[in-house]
Amino acid sequence: MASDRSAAKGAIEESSPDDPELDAALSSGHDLQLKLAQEQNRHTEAMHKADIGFLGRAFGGEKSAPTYIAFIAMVAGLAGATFCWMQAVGTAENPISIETAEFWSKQAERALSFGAAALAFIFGRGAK
Amino acid sequence: MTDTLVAPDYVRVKQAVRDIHERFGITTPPVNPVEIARNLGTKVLFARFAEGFGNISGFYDCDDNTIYVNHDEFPLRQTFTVAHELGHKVLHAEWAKSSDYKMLMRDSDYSGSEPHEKEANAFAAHLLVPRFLLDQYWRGNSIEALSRLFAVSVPVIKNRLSIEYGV
Repeated sequence: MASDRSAAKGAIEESSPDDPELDAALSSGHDLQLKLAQEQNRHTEAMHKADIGFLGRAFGGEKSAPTYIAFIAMVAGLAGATFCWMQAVGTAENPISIETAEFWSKQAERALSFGAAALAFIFGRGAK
Repeated sequence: MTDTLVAPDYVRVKQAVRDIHERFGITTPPVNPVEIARNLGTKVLFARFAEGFGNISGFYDCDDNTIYVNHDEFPLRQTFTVAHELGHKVLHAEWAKSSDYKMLMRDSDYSGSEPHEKEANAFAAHLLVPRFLLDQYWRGNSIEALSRLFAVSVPVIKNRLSIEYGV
C-alpha cells in the first residue's frame, strides 16, 4: 500500500492549499450557527421580558432592581431631609416654636440617615 | 505500541480530541479540520488526480507531513477525510509510515474493522461533531441542518446521533 501511496502522489496533476467549495461549506455552517445563536438570544430576551413583568420593566431585572430602588430611596431620603430642614428653619413672617424646630430637625436627621444608608448600599454593590 | 494495536482504544481517541478542542478553544460549530491540521504543523493540499486515481478520497504522507485531499470530493466529505487523516497523524504516526496504512477511498462507508481505521474514524467523528456541541444543537434541528451546521455529511450526523443518543 505504501507504493499505492507513492503512486497516488505521482498521479497528482495539480494541488492547491485552498478549496473554495470547502470554504463555502464552512462559511455556510458559521452563518447557520450565528443565525441559531441570534434566534436563541431573541428567545432568551423574550422570555426575560415575560419573566420580569410590569414592576421588572420599571425597576429592571433582579441584578439592577436593588440598585434602582436604592437610588430612589436615596433621592427620597435627601429630599425628605431638605423638606424637614426647611420646616425647621421657618420664616420671618411665620416663625416656629423651638419644639417644632426640634421635631423637624429630628425628622431631617432620620431622613438623612435613610438616604445615606441607601447611598452606602449603592456604593457597596458597585464595589463588588 | 500503535503497531500492535489489536482493538480500538476509544478512551485514548476521545482524550486526544478533547486536548485539541481545548488547545484551539473550540466552542461553536463548524470545526475546521484544515485549520487545526495546519496549526498542528501538517500541510493540507487539495489535489486533482490523474485518471484511474479519482476514487481516492485522501491520504496522509509521512514523508512530507502532508494530508492530500481529493479536490473533486463533496466538501462535506472532505472535512471528514482531513479529520480522519489527521487522526492517523496524531494517533498512529509510526503505523502510518508502514505498508499497513491504507488510503481513504471515496466509496468507503467508514465501516472497516481494522483498529487503526476505526480509531481514525472515531477521531474524525468526535473532532468534527463533539458531544458537547451536539448537546446544544441536536434538539430542534433537522439532520440536514445539523449536517450544514457541523460541515459534515448526513451519514456522519446520523452515525453521531445514533451513537450518542441512540436515535
